[in-house]
Amino acid sequence: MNSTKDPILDTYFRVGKPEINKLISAALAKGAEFADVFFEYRITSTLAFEEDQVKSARRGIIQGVGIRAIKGDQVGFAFSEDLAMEPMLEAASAAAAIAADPGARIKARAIAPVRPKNLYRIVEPATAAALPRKLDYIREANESAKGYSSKIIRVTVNFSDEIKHLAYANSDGLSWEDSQPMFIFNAVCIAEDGNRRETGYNSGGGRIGLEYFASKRKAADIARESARLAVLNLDAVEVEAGMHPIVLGNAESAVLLHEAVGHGLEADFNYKKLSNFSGRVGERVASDQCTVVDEGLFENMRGSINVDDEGNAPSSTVLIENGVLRGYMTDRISALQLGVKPSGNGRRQAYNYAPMPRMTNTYLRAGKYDPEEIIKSVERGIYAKNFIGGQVDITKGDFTFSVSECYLIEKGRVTAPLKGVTLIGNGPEVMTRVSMVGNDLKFTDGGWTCGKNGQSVPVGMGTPTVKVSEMTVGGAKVNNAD
Amino acid sequence: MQDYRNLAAELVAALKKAGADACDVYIGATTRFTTQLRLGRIEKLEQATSKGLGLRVFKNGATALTYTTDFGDRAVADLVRETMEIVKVSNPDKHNGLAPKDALGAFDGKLNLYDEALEAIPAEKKIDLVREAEDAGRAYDKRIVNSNGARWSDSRGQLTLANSDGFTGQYKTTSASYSVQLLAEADGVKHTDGWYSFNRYFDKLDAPKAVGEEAARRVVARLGGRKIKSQIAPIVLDPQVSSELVDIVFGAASGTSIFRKSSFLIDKTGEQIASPLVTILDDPTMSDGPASRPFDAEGVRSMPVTIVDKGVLKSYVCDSYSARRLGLKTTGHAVRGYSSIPGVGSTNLFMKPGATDPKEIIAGVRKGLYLTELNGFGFNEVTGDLSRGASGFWIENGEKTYPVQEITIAGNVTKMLRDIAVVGSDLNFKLGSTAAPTLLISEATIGGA
Repeated sequence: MNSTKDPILDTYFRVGKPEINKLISAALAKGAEFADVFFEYRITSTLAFEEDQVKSARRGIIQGVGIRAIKGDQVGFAFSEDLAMEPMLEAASAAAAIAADPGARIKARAIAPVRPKNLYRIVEPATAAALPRKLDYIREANESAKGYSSKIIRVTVNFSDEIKHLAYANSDGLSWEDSQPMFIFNAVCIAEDGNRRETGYNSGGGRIGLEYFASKRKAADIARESARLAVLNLDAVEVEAGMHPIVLGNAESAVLLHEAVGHGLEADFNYKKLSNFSGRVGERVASDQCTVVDEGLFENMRGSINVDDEGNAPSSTVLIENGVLRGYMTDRISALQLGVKPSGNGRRQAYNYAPMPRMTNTYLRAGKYDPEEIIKSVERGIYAKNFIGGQVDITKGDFTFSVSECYLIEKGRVTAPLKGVTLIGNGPEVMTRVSMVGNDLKFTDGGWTCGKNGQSVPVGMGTPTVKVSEMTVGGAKVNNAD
Repeated sequence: MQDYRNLAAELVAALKKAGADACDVYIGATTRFTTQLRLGRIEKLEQATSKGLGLRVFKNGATALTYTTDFGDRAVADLVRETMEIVKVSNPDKHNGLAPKDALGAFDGKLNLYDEALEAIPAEKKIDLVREAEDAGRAYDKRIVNSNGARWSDSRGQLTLANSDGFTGQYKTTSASYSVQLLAEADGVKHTDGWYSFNRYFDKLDAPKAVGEEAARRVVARLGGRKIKSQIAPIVLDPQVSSELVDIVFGAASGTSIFRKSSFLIDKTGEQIASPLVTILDDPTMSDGPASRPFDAEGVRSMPVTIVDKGVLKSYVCDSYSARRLGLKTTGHAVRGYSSIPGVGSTNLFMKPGATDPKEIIAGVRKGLYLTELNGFGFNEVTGDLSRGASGFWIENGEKTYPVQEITIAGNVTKMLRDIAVVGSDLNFKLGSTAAPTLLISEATIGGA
């Protein structure tokens, strides 16, 4: 049965099935019920362009193996960057220490590969491209941003790409290999007008090659969008703090969904009863217009994966259906604890971190309203379009979002740009106040990275235009001081 | 742990031989042990030694960096070759280069960076310690209904830096820390909060009972939170928040932010930027400081720097690149990891304490907000505009009353700094390497219902 070739294992790690079996057996030696090994060889490259010059070129090669032993919900974990057998066996023994019951021995099963389907079909891999080829896109972006307005005084363009060659095997006998590509192209612009200076940011990319720039978005367009945001905010005015109706623009506003409900629906928080959504499957947790899905299956999308970092296939998981909580995103441990099938959300930043439940591409399904109709329905409110980022306390559900593109809505029309707007609220509460969902579902293109317990993973997200009847807006002005 | 000084020197020589005009080699190695308990049971044990090296070269005025975790002869030889290849893509910049030779060296005073005893402390003792902390926290109040766990982490690190101007330096550090995170519930609403202790020395950590009970006090204090109306009011900044204000000043005074024009402190040296009560220093040479070190990431000898003196901006903080850009001297504030080029970063950064007891500060406020937490990313470093989520306690007639949640704080940091009316006497480095006392800001905009 061992005739199948393992090209990644052979090329990058020079270890074979017998060695891997030895490592898994060592990790199981003290009585763990499950063990896995995760080999990673990552090639990264960054070009930083500023003041019309390549300021620095950077390239890295990171290799290592992470070894995990599990007993119930207890995890022993160790890793080694040295891929010689001795240090790897040491790591396996360190991981094994989580279990202290050498009597109850589980044997590693014969390893058989799974062949995941390929979601990242690529024409021209960024990591293999010659640096001058990437420079062409950088220069195009730089010129485009500078040409947008004479108010643009500084442009920075970064091209970062990586490829992760992964090889995995576990004690259930499952093995897989995957090569995960990724690139991010971003432009930061500073605009100046008199004493005012504002920053703009935009990015693009995904698990795709350089064909992105021809088929999806031009480098110049990413830079122009960054320049537009910087110039726009030069004229932005202060907003009144207080409760306002909010219209959230499509695509980028999905960061709100990610924070307000996404994290709270990761199963580790739920089997430990730490989330405000714990034990509430079947209950109404959002307005009936809300259907929230996590789906790792979209081709070339930033949060997509052919296989999760524990060997489970990604899936389309309905988290909330017409306002009713349907389920959680799980990894192996949390699925076992909750008695459900793993949803393919076991992800890790790299070999030196253990997997946990993480989002892939999380989105709100399209509703019935025309986006213009949604804006027209607001007498006086806020239209939030682009975000810097967000944060959530998953226990109480309170979130904070910082908005980078925001406007006032007056009498159903979008008017003045607003500066320094922060949206705060309680996730579950806000979800019940979703009063209109648009028909214009769109996914983000930029490089959102999600942080949890010190691990960062790339994610995708999407949303149609959404109206929330009321949300707290932070701003520098007050209307009715008392 | 292996001594990488020879490897660093060999790689400097190899890069020179391959054609580098100048170069440095940065090697980091860390051995870490972490464990997590929850409800008294071990959830996770983790142990590993990790390492990485970075090669930075300068050639014809251009620079490039490569890095790897593979220290094998072949991998490293390939990397040297590759570094000289990719530097060809970089453009020359006359400000590039190593730090000036006369600034290189190591601070020779005692820094107390390494706890020799740490390595021998058995895992069981660490596990017992966090178990005791979690138990103490859970037993503190019956409204504590769950735990998000107690975490232990300790590490021993070694940093080696060598450059082609003859600098070779190395130092070792230890650190130990643990934390407890608890859940409390009242009236169907759950809250979470926690507490922690960290130190370079194991036996200087706070006692587990104290840490567990502080976590419990903090989470219970959040129960019964209310929203308040939008208003302008005085705010008292807890040291957890005032230290963020000090970080903001450091970021705006960093040479990188200045030459990139993304700072509200451009052209402000010598000017009054804050209340005369405010003096801010960064001192990497503090004995027992959590971020002390003998030299910076470019091998520049550590020295204390006064950034703000009695409200007047005295000095920007620079690495050698930003210093050359601005026509200044490096202040020894280069920071990096093996996979990154140097940037500007703080060490032991603090605001000098004043004379007022923090209790007196609160007692002097008739109606106002005691601010314990800021959330979100709403800060524009170009303008100083700040708009953040916040929580804390409402002050009535000089006393902290009910907790306040789901509010925002907004305003411009330049105004907040000038509006600092009282500086507390309570400075310590228990919360992190940036520290500041309790502060009273005469007025700020609070966004609420």
